[in-house]
Amino acid sequence: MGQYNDLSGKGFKCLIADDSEFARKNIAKIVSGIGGNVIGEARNGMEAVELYFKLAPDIMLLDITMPELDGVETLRRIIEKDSNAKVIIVSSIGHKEMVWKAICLGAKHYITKPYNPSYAGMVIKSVFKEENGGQE
Amino acid sequence: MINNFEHLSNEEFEELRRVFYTQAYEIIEDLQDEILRLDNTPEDENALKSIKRYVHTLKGDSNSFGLTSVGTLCHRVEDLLSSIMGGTDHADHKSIDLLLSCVDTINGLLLGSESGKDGGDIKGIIERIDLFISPSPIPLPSGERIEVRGAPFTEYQQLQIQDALKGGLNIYEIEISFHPMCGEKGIAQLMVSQRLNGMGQIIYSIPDIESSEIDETEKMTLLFSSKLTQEEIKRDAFITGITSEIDIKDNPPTSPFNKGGEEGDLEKGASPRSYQSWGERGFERAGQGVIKNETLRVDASKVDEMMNLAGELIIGRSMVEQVAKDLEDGVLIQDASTRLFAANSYMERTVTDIQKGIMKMRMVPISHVFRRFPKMVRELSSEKGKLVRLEIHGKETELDKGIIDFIGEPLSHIIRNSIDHGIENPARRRSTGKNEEGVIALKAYHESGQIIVEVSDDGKGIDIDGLKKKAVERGFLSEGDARRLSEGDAINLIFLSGLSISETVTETSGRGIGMDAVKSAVESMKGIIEVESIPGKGTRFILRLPLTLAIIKALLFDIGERLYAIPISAVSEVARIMSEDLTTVDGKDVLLFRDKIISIIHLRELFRIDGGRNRKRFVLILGIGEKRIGVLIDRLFGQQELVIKALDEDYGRSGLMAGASILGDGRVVLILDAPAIFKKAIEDEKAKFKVQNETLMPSTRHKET
Repeated sequence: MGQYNDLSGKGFKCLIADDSEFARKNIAKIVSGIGGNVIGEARNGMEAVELYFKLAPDIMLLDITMPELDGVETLRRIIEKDSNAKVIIVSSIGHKEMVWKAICLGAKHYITKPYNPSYAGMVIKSVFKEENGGQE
Repeated sequence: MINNFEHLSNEEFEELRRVFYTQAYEIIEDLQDEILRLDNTPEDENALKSIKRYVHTLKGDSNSFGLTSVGTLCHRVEDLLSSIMGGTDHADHKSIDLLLSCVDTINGLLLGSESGKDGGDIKGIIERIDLFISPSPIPLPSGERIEVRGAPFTEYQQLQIQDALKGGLNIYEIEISFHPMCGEKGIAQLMVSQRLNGMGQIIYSIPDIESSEIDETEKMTLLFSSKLTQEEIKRDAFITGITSEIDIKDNPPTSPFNKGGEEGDLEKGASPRSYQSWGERGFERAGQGVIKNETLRVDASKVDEMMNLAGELIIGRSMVEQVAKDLEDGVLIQDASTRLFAANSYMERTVTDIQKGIMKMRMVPISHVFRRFPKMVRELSSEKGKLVRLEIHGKETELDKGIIDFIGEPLSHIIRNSIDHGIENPARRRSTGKNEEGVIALKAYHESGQIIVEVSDDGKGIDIDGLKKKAVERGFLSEGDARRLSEGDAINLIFLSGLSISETVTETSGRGIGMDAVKSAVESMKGIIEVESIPGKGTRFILRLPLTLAIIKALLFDIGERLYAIPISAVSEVARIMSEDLTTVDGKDVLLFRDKIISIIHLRELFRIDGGRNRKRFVLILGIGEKRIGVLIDRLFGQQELVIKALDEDYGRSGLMAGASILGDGRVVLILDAPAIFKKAIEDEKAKFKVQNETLMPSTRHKET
């Protein structure tokens, strides 16, 4: 597990929104691997918006294709109220258009599935760090 | 598979594996249900959407889990679904069958891999999908890409570079290598572009964000103008997980810049250009270098039609021949003239049909031009960090090929300006109660014998006061004139050379570019451009173009003994006047017409035609936008369709003639170039009064005198 014990992003609160349990579990391991705490898991967009405002996470990992509200719409609702939301889009290859929209709307970063775990960890950490006074 | 999970313990991996398979089989069941639902109600869009979502989830999970065969197949199924969704027909039995076969195959693959066996081959099913999606062996998109790559630099890019240099900005060539593990390089490029956009202006970036090679590329190259130093850019452009190396080179104006590796260079036969060789005004120079598409794709049936008509011409000719022979044989035939007339009218009909047929062949749907824009809009809006949707209406509208070849560049100019200066960024739009996504609408349609092409946006509109202020600052107008200028006229200020239409001109961005070049390009197509704008609501550019460049409807008239014609589209009114109706103001003739003072052009003087002046004369009122000028003529002969023939260089030299034509009786008529005469009238005025501010409104000055 070596490098995943690096706690430089220690203790950040993370919300995961994905309709696939497998995907949620998979990325949750990475979050905890870099010292984050998964404080909530949402299975669809509606739940994601609700949990975001209830739990006020530092980072949100958001899937693009979800029932009820897709990732873009979910992001839109979150950004509308919290323009500083640190949202990372996690999506499979092939949804370029949606990821594109999300980035234009203000998503901070994106990770494509399948991802390399250490790469994904690095990206999540970098987005969290920027919040803590990193240069932007 | 192992690679992605090496950070997990065995137990953890086992759990993840269990979750994966359980969920995957659930999805298979859901998929089967939804596909059957679609079969019962083919118009049910929701069923299709659910299917798409399930497939997508399965694809993502499978790829993550390392089961790439399922991932690959799912990816193709997504294409299949897009093709069903995008098609005009609803899902039919054929597509349902195929979808079900796909699901069966996926199920087999899952079962196989779970029990540790090879899941089988997906080649067969993928071939079936390919065949379903594109039954034709010719891949379409590749042709489009070549077209878009175009010349080494577009006019717009050239103007941007000139502008940057004038503004004392640095121009850099930046090469950014992407992080080897970042997926979707197109999005990576978007993020980099967004970041850079806050620091300066991207003049271009390679590869095209939308091109297929973007996903295989490892780096992007940009031409970038900014006031920042190399170090500052290097520091601020770095994004973790996106960029790995940033290499910046100064690109001083003296060194020729080759947009390396573009096949476009070869295709267009252009050599690498240096900045300095570019003209001040975009299209005029470039117009000469425009490589027209000289081949024409014609429906085979149209050619057959032509063959038939040619055959009929031969019949007509033999009818004439027969009469001639009879006459030669000394046979006195009573009905010779009747037979000749009959032959003539027979041939006349045929010739008219041939002419129409050939004109039709020259007509090309404007979609040939429009289809490059969706991609351009996507690229550009992302570079600018804006959300823009392009709506296209009337892409089937047909235009003369001569116009099609030239209209692309001015249109793309207008669209670029709309994205640059019209559409606000998403945050600003939200705060003004607009939808975050701006809309640019591209429309083409017929209207009273013309083709109208409109480009409208729902952006912030043109700031007319700002425009006036800038025109005054730059010495185009006096303050008094600016105040008196009506809104309708003031908006035309954007067509002045070197006037920005953005509300703020900063060091790094917001330079209004080359609407004057757009105007002259449209005019060179015998067209007219107008602009309307409502502050806060948007802007609309309207291009009025002739149906064809080869045949025009013209008004025939004479001056002295010489016959002239002018395209009727340029004439807004014809008035009959007496000599005493003309007044002289500042040594120039003007006419009070419908409460407006109109400058009068004397073609007689312009063309040095001798002869006295009649007391009773006609004046043609020419109108472009709200501007009017009067042209004095002697006699009017009504309108006629003329086939335009090009003039020799000698005749063309005055620049006031658009061409010539031969009438039925053999007389030659010169066709006036209306926009050129307009320009001439305005230049004359400038020369006479030595006043700069008359450029726009020849008549304003007379009002105050």
